[in-house]
Amino acid sequence: MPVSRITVMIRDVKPFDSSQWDQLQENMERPLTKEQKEKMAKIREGVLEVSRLIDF
Amino acid sequence: MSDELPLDRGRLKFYMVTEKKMPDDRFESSVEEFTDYYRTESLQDIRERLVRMYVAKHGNLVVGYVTLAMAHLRHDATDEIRAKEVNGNIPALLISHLAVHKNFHRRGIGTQLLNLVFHIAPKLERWAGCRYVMLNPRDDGGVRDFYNNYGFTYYPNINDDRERDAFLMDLKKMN
Repeated sequence: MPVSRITVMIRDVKPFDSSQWDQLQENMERPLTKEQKEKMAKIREGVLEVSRLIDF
Repeated sequence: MSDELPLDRGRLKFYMVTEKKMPDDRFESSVEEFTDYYRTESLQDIRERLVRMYVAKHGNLVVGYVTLAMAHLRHDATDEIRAKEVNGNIPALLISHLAVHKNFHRRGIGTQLLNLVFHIAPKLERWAGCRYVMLNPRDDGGVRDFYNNYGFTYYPNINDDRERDAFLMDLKKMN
């Protein structure tokens, strides 16, 4: 294992918050808001734009 | 400010880095960790199949890069959870690094690199389970605003992992 990976593995000390996981599961089922839908539409436009600039 | 360079968007192209050599060793991020990773570690990670790396080039100059790896959100932190759920993990595509050249900030290159990720992610998801694109943000307000504005949702301390804060984008909701 490269040394850099060992270094980052020991730096975290914050507790795991299971309420965040509950929130995630709620959001997985929840439909997008109008604002979120607008952001998704913008991302799709951006993806289309970038697909024309890809060389691989 | 005087170091900032003009960007001709017509000259911007995106490439995948192969394991042979880095396309340009002049890349310099304002964050030393990202410069060091690009220059000294990324090629080894590519060779070891730990990441795939994509670069944005402006002419011959690399002006940004992003690295991707497989990951998952872990939910088996406690015995109680392990007892209740056979498989509480959610597969995700991890943006392990995303950096823009320090002289090309605020030109939309970071957004374009994210757009590139969302060009790749649905193709991956077609062949293997992958619910989220995720990243573990640095502790920096500007960086967090950038991902929030793009459309990611921030979850503090969500993961039973060394990197517990996560920004997530639900690929299922993108279809």
